[in-house]
Amino acid sequence: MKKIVSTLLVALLCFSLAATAQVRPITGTVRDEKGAPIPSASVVVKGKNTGASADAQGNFKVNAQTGDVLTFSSVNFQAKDVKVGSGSSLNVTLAAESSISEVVVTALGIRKKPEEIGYSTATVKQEQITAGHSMNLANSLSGKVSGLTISNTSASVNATPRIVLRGLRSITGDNTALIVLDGVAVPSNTINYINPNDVERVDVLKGGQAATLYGSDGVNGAIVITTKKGTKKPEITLTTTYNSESVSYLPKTQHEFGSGSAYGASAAENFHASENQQYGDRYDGSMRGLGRVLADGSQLIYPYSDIPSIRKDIWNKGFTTQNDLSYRSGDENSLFYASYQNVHSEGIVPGDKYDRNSLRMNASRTYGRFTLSFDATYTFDKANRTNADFYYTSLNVASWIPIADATFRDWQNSKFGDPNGYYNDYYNNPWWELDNNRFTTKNNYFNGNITLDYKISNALSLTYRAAVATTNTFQTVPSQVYTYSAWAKNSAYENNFNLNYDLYLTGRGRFIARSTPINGSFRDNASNGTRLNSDLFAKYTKEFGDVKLDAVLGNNIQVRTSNSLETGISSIAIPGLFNVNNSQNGILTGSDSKSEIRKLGNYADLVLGYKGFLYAHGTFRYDMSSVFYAQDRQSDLYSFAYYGGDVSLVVTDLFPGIKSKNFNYFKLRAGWNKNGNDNLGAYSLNTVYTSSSGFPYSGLLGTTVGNTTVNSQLKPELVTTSEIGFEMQFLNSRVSIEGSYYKQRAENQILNVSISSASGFTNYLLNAADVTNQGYELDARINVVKSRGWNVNVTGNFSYNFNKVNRLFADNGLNSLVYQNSGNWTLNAEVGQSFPYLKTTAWARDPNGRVVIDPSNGWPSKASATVGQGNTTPKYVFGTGATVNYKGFTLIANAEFRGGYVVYNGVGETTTFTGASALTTLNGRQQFVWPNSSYNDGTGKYVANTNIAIDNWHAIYAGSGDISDGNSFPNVGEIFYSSGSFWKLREVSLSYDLSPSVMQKIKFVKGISIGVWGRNLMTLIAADNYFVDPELSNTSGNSQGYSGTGQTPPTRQIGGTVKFTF
Amino acid sequence: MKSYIKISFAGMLLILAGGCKKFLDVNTNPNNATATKSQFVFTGALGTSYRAQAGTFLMITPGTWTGMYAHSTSFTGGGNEKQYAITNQDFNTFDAINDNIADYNYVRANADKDGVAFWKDPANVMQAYMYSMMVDVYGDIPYSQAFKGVAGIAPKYDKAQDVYEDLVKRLDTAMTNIKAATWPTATDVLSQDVFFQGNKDKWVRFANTIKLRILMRQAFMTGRDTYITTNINNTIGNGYLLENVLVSPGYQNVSGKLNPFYVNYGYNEINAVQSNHSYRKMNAVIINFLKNTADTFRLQSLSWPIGSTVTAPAPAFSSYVGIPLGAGSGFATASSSAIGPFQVQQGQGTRPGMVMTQAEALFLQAEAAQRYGILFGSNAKALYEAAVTSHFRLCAAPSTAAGSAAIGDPYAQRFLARSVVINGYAAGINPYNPNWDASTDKLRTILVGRWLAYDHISGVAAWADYRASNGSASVSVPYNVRTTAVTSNPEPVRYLYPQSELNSNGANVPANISVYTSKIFWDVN
Repeated sequence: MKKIVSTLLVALLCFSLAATAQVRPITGTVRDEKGAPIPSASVVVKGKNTGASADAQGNFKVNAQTGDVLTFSSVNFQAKDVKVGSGSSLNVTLAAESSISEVVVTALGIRKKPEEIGYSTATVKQEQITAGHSMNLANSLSGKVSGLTISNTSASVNATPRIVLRGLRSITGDNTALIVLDGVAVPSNTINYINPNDVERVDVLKGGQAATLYGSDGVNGAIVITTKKGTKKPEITLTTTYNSESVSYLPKTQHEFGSGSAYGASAAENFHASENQQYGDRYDGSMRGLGRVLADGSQLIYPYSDIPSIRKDIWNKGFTTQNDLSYRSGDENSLFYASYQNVHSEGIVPGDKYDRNSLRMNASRTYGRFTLSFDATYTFDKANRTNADFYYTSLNVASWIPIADATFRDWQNSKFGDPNGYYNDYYNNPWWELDNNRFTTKNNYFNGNITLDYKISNALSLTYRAAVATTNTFQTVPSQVYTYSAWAKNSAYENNFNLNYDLYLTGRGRFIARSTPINGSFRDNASNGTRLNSDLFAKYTKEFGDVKLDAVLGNNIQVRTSNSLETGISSIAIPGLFNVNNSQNGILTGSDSKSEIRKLGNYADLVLGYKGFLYAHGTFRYDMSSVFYAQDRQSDLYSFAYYGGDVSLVVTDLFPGIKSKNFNYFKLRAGWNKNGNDNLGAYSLNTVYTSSSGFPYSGLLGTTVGNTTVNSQLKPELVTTSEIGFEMQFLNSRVSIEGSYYKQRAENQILNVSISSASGFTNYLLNAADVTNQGYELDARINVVKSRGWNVNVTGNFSYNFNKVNRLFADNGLNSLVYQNSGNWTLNAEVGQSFPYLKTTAWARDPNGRVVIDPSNGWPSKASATVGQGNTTPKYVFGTGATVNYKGFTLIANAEFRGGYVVYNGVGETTTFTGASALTTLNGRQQFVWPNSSYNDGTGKYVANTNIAIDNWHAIYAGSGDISDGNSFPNVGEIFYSSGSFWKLREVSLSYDLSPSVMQKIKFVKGISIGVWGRNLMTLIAADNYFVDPELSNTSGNSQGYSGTGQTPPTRQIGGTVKFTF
Repeated sequence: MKSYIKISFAGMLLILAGGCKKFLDVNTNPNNATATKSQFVFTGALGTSYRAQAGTFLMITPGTWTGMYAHSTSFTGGGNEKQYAITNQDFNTFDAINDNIADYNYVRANADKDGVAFWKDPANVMQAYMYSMMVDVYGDIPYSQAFKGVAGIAPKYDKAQDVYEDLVKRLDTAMTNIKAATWPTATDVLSQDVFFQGNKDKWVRFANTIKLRILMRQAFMTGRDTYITTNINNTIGNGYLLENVLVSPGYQNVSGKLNPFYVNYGYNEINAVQSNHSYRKMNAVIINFLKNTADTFRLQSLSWPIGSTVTAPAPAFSSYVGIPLGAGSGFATASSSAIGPFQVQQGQGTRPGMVMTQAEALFLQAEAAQRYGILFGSNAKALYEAAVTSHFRLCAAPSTAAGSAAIGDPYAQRFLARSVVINGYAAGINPYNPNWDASTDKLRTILVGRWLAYDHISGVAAWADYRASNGSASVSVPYNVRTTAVTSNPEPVRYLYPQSELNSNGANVPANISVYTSKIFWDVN
């Protein structure tokens, strides 16, 4: 690549080569800052149109005379002028390119210079992408770009992140960024399987304006991934990476009290050896029996004392290995790139495994005016994970029980780990559940495109690109059958706990064995999603004097199909045989769903530039979407046009007078656009009539009228966005600052609103609601030190985002739309509030804000209405990073802060119920007067409570352990929400490139780089959050803000990497 | 060259534009039907009506508050039922009933078009049936403005009493129409009626019985007698149920296709016990009542003894343990009685569902005869004894239209002959006498008998009876069903409108509704 560019440059400049006097050959070597030669660098004698290019070792030879200025340049390096002195040899070091000389990859893969762009973009370069060695590209972008939020649903293997730019604008529609791979809009899962080492750069187009040319999917901004291409100089790299992963922290749990529940009048009487809850007496070190005396008379005996590390001991140390091999080469007309990556990962959840193999190839060849290129990725992966709620069951084991021991873990051979003999009366052995309830997902991904460019003239070119992205998924969900013994069902008994509790003894048998047979089940699912994309566009570029014209006219066709076929059985006959023909009753259940969506778009894009400092840009697109199409619908309901424009002005070029050494660059930009959004699934225009529950019966049909009615005038929604921004550079471009303000308004959103069921329907799909979404972004980059081999860059980015629901559906007074709810909390879109918005149940409070207690027991009572607690996505995100280069060393560190939001920690509910949470040891489970409380004196007057202590029963048990008491902790959501703020040290990486002098001695190796790194090494969370990682959410949809035990605990990774270049 | 390209490009766009409609025409749903026929909706809705009746909020929750069900103390939860701590999040049966009534509305609107006009009136009868249950738990409801689709997404509410009165008119119209109509005889058409297999007379009798229930619900109201008697008499000639109303779509031993009561509170398709069978147990009130009345036959039908199997000889009374509502401990699953073989017999999940009993129809007639002297062909005593006998027959052969006279009658006769005062719940409190002639409070004798007959059939009907008659010591039916849990909350008198309705129709939902004091209009206590 470098060679081509430099050769072209040289050829152009040498067009009118003139002979000059006193010219002598100057020779030397061009190297980078680390001392490595820069092959094919170009050398031009300024003002004389002569020049040469360096060879593969960076050696050049050029004819010049004393006083001439030589300009050295190469792709990805800053050009440098060197004056020719008296000598005949010159050694030149080129610095890596800084932001100003970069290009930005925009829609359709079109590269533009920054000054041409009137909207907000950001670029993440390769060394930043790979610094943390995340196997998922999305996770390596976290905290590096203002306005970009990456969030995860799980810390287990193969978690899929959610990528959102500039917050939420659609209440129920998709808000995630469009993923673009080498110019093609691809399905959002692509970012999960692409090999990060294949990625050259990622450009983030933040606003909807940036993506008009991709169609309505671009309304949420775009992540534009550009992969590595071939080079003229053959290069082979071999990289191997290993990291370990461990749990970084767990919810705060108590380590004082052991097993027990509501059996007696004191904590000692509450002790119970087969109990799931932890409301027994305080640990005293005595030897106590655990669980039942088994059929053979044996019983476990353990000291009744805390095992401090037990809740961490159950988690594995996970690890990931990544092995990469890549090859690039090329010649004058061809470029070729191929890579292979193998990833093997074992998670912190014991037994969870993930394997991924990726192959990637791209090539291009130019034949005269034609250039043909293709690009293909094939990835297959396999994840094997548990379906059991291991986090829940293991976290809630009392801390005197050595649950991590083989006694329980080795359930195949341990009679105390076997479900018959497991101590716990209410929950099965977590290790048994872990191993016997699993799911395996295998994916085959193919993603590729073929591009044909035809250069009609110097100004006009025509491009056709056909692309396909397909995912085939096969999932099996085996769940083992187990038959309890007659002893476990009928005769198991206790004899080692409070014998006064005789009533319990009448209920013999293990409770779980009697009440919950383990029948097993199995499910097979095969699904396929395919997207075909066709782009045909013409580009016209011409300069007319001071005016430069860039025009694009194009057509886009998309076809998306998906199929899913599932069959399953709800019981297993022969243990261990997981096949749908192995059920106890021979009955199969199944489902089948298909969809096809087609979109058609025509677009035009025009940029007018004036003297290189003023650019005006306009876009227009006209789309048609099959999801709104029906034969009897008017065309304006399924077709929609949208458009926008932006202006960019480089003030420092308009008024060169203000430019100085300390003030180098000042650009202003402003944009406005209106984006269409066809946020609707296929086949949503009609009410459906499904079978009534249970029907059909032996040929007897029974149907029911669907609950959703659809507005006949339903049409695509429109989002308008305004944006202004600036870019500035100071101190020889060592300081650059960029800022933006944007405001989006989404009206007539496609919304499925709740209506009274007395209307005959419960939901009404229509265009409703009005949402505004706005924010500020600031990015700064400072080159702090640049001398004597040191190069220190510090970056910071800040974003503030705030959305607001102005209206939902005024016609029926609807002012709250529920995303997710449980008895204790709801996540809503609420008029007047930012969404998603958390509401929880709460303590009753008097007008003075005091908690109102029940004078009969001293315990607080619960308010009848839920209370709003706040928005659940970050308002403020701050990212900061530092890159330090010294000789061959590179240190990269990135950290991120998110704040201004709350999260609901579902772990709190379950751990207070079981008594595992530290919350349950309020005042050491002793009676106390609830602070700042009052009670109703019977006349409606609230009297300060100074003397009514909570009763003993609430203190030792009911206050937190009794879920059937409506006022107990597990029923009061207020207790379990917390600030979501956190600081995370995302990644720290130190690498060293062996010095070129060393490398020259090893002939066959061109470079060796070694590195150590860590991810998420430190996390600081808010003081009131003593539970979980606020970054995790139980859904990748819009209703962010709730996490439970389905989300595994947060982890940190430490690893090392070696890279060989041949 | 340039112009050639431009022209061909424009030409291609034109071709694409022309083919657009065809290209986009892929939006036909391959997964679900977007049209149906009234007859299919009718059949499905009948099945769904029973499913709703057998659901937790119409069967168990009201049954829990009338001494039929309680919670095993092996489970935590049920606080709202045990402590009467009820919020708008609890017991939403509003949406389920509306969903079902909407289906009948579809039938009534489209039956002519689909050539099954004769199903319109049975659909109307079913709407009255479902509406009456809705009024019984919610009072005022959207009625006259309901089911107008997008034209009425937030319908206004009607007064409960107006709804009740209109239901009576609705049933009158339906009975008149059914009698006048000619119904088809083709078996495939008749099989669409999974209640009565197209038997007109049975539909008329069912409608008239629903009407009688609606009227008798108001019997404790003052000044209502003329209204009630007039309306009974104007259709008395239509007759009342001669047998039990069953729903039999052909339940199968397949997941999702089992009898809903059985699968909700019994076992699944592979005979595995459902957690609700272990959790939703028999209440001490009904168990002790059956024990105190020495009603061994119905005790063994309506409940299971503790332990897993029943073996001969018949288990002792001590094996039947009911749980006092609100008990916090001491009544583990294995040490309390489960819902009995009347509805839950392992492996018999394909039995027809029991919608309404003939016994109920007879008890209603007996009450009317006793109160108003209306003679339904026989006097109050005969009607009462026929009612009790009918219930014994059904207990002898559950899920059958006629029950078993051979098995049930001897037990019924023995029961009816017991001319001693029996303490209902506890010694000396509200004695009860099953023998008509010996009974000193014949209304109470009828109402207690009806309460027993509602067990496992309709919790909501029992709760409505209880609320309509409670407070009057002589008829309090049954006695002492109040929770034993520590709470200062009084017993609930209704459900609260669900949060979904408050959210989407907040302006019309009646304000200031208290679950403890906002009584249904017929609740005169």
